[in-house]
Amino acid sequence: MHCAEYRDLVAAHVDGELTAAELPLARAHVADCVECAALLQAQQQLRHAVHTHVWTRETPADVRQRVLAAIDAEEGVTNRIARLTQWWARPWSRVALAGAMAVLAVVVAVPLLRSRPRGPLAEEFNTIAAHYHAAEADAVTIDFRTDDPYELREYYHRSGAVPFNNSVVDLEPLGYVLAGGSVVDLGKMKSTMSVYRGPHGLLLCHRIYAPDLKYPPGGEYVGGDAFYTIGGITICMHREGDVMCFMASAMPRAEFIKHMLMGMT
Amino acid sequence: MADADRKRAEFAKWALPHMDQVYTAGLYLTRNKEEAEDLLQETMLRAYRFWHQFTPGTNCKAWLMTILHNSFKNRYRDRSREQQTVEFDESLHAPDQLASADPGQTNPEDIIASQRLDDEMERALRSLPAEFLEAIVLVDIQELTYEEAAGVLGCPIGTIRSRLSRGRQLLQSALQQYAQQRGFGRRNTYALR
Repeated sequence: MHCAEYRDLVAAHVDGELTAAELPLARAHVADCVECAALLQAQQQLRHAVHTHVWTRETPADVRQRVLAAIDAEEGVTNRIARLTQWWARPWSRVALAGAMAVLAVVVAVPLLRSRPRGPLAEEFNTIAAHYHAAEADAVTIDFRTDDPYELREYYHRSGAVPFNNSVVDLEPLGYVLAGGSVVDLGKMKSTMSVYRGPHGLLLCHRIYAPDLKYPPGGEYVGGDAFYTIGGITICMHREGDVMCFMASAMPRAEFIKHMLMGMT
Repeated sequence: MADADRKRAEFAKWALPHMDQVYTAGLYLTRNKEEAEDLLQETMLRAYRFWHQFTPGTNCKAWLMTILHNSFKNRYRDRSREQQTVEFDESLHAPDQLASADPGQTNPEDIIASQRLDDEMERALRSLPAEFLEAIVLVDIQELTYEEAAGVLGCPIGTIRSRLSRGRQLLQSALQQYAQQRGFGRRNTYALR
C-alpha cells in the first residue's frame, strides 16, 4: 500500500470501517511509514476532539412547538384527503354527488326547507348555534386567548376537563387564525370550544369525547362528514377517532360543503 | 388503535426524539439559525407525511438525515455560500450549552479553555468545504455508519471514506492554523483532552 492510498483510507482505519482484506495492508503500511503512523494518530485524536467539543444543539422551544403544530395540521389534512379519496373511489360516489347537487338545488329553491336534527343531539346543536351567535357578537367568553394551537391544546390538557389530546386543529393553511378557546358544557358533556376567524367569518370548533356517538338523521352526508343547518348556522359533524368534532360556520350549507371540500383538497 | 393514532404514536416514538439532531445538522448545512429552523420544520413534516416509507428496524435518524439533505438541496441549490449569514454563532454561545458541555468540569480555567476549544472547533468546521463538512457531520457528529452516510448523500462508500480522510486533514490544518494565530505552539492542540 502506498502513502497516497493510505491517506484516502485513514478515516476508515480510525473508524474500524476497513474491510478484512484492507486492514492487514493498512497495518503493515503504518508499521513501516512514520508519516502515515503520525497521520493515523492525529486523526484518532481529532475524532476524539470532535466528539468532545461538538455537541447537539437543543431545538428552541418555540420552534419545537411550531413543528408539532405543523404536524397536527398535516394530520388533519391527511385524514380528510384520505377519506375524500376513499369516498371518491367508490363506484357510487359520483352518482351520490350528483344526487347531492340535485338535493342542494331543491334546498336553494325552497329556502325554508332546512333539516333539523332529531333525537339526543338537538340540545347540543342548539347550544353550538347559541355559542356561535354569541361569538359573532363578541359576547362569548374565551378563557384562553392565543393564536397558537399548541398552547391552546396545552391549556385544554391542563384543565383536565377533556380526556383527549387532539383537541385543537391548526386551520391556518385554510386561512383561519385561532383566537382562543374555552372548555364549555355541551349537553351533558364537557367540550372544547375553539374560536377561529378567517376569510369566511367566524368558525367554531367544538370537540367532545364520544366514541359511540352516531350522526343523527336529517343531515347531509358528504365525504364521511354530516352537515346540518341550525338557526342559520351550518354545522359539520366530523369524526376523528374517539373524538367527535362540530365545526360551525355562518356560511350557507352548500357553500360550507364546497369550502370544506375545496379547502381540504 | 386507529391508523392515524398508530402513525402518530410511532412517529413520536421513533422520529421526534431525533429533532435536536436534525436541527443541529441543519445548522451546519445552512449556517443560519432561521433557515435551519425552517429546514427542520420541512424535514419533520415530510417525514410525517411519508412515514409509511420508513422501514421499521432501520436507523430512523439516518432516514431523517436523508430527508434533511434532500430538502436542503431542493431549497438551497441555487444559493451561494456567500449569501449565507453567520447567525449560527448566536446558538453556539448559548450559556446553558456552554455550561453543560462537560458537567464534570468545575475548574473555571478548565471551563474557559474548553469553551475556547469548542469555539475553535466550530470555526474550523465552518471553514470546511461543504462536501467534507457533510461527511464529518454525518459520521463524526451524527454517528452514522459509512454505509448510512453514503445512503444519505447518495454516493458510494468509497467517497465517504475519502471525504472523511480529507476533511479531517483539512479540519486539523484549520485547527492548527488557528492555534498558531492564538499563540499556541503545540502541534496537536486538540489532543489536550
